[in-house]
Amino acid sequence: MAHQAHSYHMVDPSPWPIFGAAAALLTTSGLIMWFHYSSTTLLTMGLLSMLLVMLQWWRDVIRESTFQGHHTPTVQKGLRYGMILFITSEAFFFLGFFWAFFHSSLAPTPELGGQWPPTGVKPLNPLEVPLLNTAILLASGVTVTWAHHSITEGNRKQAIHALTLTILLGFYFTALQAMEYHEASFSIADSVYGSTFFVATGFHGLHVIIGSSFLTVCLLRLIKFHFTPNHHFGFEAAAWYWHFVDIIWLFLYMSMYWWGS
Amino acid sequence: MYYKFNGFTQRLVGAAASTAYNPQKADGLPVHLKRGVPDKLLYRTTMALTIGGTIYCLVALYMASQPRSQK
Repeated sequence: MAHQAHSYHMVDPSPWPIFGAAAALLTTSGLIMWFHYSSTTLLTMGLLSMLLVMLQWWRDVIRESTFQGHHTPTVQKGLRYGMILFITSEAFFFLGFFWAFFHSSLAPTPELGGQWPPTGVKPLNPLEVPLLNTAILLASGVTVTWAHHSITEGNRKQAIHALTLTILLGFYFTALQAMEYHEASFSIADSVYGSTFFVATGFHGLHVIIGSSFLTVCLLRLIKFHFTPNHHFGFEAAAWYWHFVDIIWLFLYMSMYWWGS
Repeated sequence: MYYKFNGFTQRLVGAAASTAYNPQKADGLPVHLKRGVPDKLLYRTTMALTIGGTIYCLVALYMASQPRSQK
């Protein structure tokens, strides 16, 4: 049997990349069919296939790493680069929405009443629920770091407790934010204020949900003994992502909630 | 799983997880089909959804691009 003379992982042929591309096609064209022809069939198929592809692709990565041992230090280094680059690209994604916000709010047009917040818009009080949300996310940053230290020290019980607490804080944030959305006196249709506010905080909320899901998967893996004190990159990637989500919120809070009120 | 009675002590055969599925077995199966039947079912469902959906998508886009048959 031939053995490789390098420390990289030559993966088995896999259908998930092309199925993932097809899922993206179905989702985007599904949005068109929903917006213009009021049909949700294609969108449902797209979201469902996207979910199936993600589940199976990442299940395979877990099989290749935890169960087949293919993730050498070299492979892990590549994964670290990959996650850093992905998070950087997400930072640029949010940068665009911050640009839009500052473009409209630094020089408010006459149509808005020449002021920011625009005339007639009653912004949310930054010292009420938004401040609580800030505290929640900062606390969750502490608990996820606690979980990481527990993993490296081999303390299983504390790691499970800390990670569970992190996830619960994430759910609490999402619930409070959903309530805020419901109670706000303005909507996404209320001038460029509503657009910038709800698009930026909305995408942030989506990232909180994604981060919470990632952390939940890590909790399940932690309980099933997948992680070792020296090798737990899946958890580290989730923790990086979670810190990123926290930092984006801090910028959102300072600019849109506080300065913009 | 079954009991083997022709031994000095009775043993339960096939109950250990390792007899059901060995991720490192050199059976030529790619990683996405390694567990056998459940993997195959999920794979075929995903394939049906994506390939069927792509065809439906192309048909829908063709119909949408027709000038007069819009609803």
